[in-house]
Amino acid sequence: MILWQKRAEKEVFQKNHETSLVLQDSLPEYLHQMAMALSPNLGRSKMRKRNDTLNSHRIGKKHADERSQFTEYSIDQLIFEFHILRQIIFQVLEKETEISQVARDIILNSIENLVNVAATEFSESARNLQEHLSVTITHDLRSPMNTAKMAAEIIVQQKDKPETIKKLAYQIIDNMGRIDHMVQDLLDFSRLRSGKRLDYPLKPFDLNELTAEACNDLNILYENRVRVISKSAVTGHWNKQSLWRVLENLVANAIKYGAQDKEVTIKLEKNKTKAILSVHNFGKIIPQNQKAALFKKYNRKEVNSKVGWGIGLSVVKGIVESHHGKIWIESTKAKGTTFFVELPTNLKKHIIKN
Amino acid sequence: MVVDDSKDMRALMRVLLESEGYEIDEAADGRQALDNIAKKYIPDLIFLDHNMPVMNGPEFVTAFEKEYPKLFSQVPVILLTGLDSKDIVRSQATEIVNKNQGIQQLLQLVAKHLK
Repeated sequence: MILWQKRAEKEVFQKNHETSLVLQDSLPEYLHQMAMALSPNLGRSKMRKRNDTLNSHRIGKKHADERSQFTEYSIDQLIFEFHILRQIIFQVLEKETEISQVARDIILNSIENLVNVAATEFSESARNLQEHLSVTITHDLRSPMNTAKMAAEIIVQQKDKPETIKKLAYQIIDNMGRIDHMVQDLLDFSRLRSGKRLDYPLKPFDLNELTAEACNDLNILYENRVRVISKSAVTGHWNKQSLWRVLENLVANAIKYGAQDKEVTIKLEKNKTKAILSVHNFGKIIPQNQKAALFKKYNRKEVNSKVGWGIGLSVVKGIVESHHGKIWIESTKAKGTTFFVELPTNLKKHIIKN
Repeated sequence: MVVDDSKDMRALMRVLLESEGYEIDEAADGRQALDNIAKKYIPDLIFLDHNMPVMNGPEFVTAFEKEYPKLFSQVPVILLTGLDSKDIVRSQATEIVNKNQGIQQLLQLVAKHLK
């Protein structure tokens, strides 16, 4: 039985690999389950049956949940993948041996269970995502909107106070800018979710312009907690507006999750072919096993955050990748947390000339 | 005293209230508001935002009542919430009000509670 299991795992996995992405991770586990179920030595007691069902549930749930967060996979895609899996399992088994009716039933039941659970979980996950997004959108967009509105009302009320009016007008401009960025983030998120790449016009400039401007603006918002370290000009072809949002997002996170009494540092460096932008904060570290999850399309932990919504880092990653760059995190108790963004400086060849 | 984690909002309330002749003090969250009171800055009225880090609006109200029961009965606390939460917030605040009603309503509230 063990021999069969090992072989089945290998073959099914290989075949499955070409067509399906859904079940890859837990396929070994699932096949092991099935092997146990088919083993002639174990009686199919009631206990056993229930245990197997529970395990099927668990596996189905885990996948659908992850899947619905990655791209706009539809339910029929998910079901199709299970269909293929069923065919492959039977193909592999039939090569080995005659499959009894009982064994056939066990397999079919098992897969059916899995499909049911996965499909339900999938719809629920997708629905939850929608709901969370609309809640955070209305909340996060409303805040700067109402601030701007209130500033405008106060302007109407102010007489003969040009300086105050000017300050209020700047607040409106500022908050409108924030709304603009949020909307842009949302559009990017939508594109990324449907599997498309982000595509921004590239122009030549010095990244120092970006870091200096960002630092100025962000310090107004964050009360001078941000500083920049940079030793030389860093020129290349990039998209300023989207990189601005990258910095904005990373700094906002650093401020929110970092030590409240320490500063946030933006560092700009370069080597022969790359520019390296990093945002550092002290405070709570990010454990190794949580790093990858942060960039996932929808990070549940950030749902109730006041600083942007749970899509921030996935959009940041999308923008960095649209620049053919890389993003990663280093986080230790001694050194604090740093988000590194590496961007090629020679993207000029990617500019399509009309 | 204006208690709100948004620096912008505190600045706006300051402009609004100072131009009506009121003097204001600020706090970025409930804890800071309590610290202000501990330092003997006793406000005649408190505008309190609902969502704030460290200690939010309702939490402040509870702590305020517990730590300064006498003051609590004397100082009106106006809890400002977003449109959706106005009807579901439960708090011992003097009044629970939607924060987006416009500045005239805010000024009327001040006049009403500062008899």
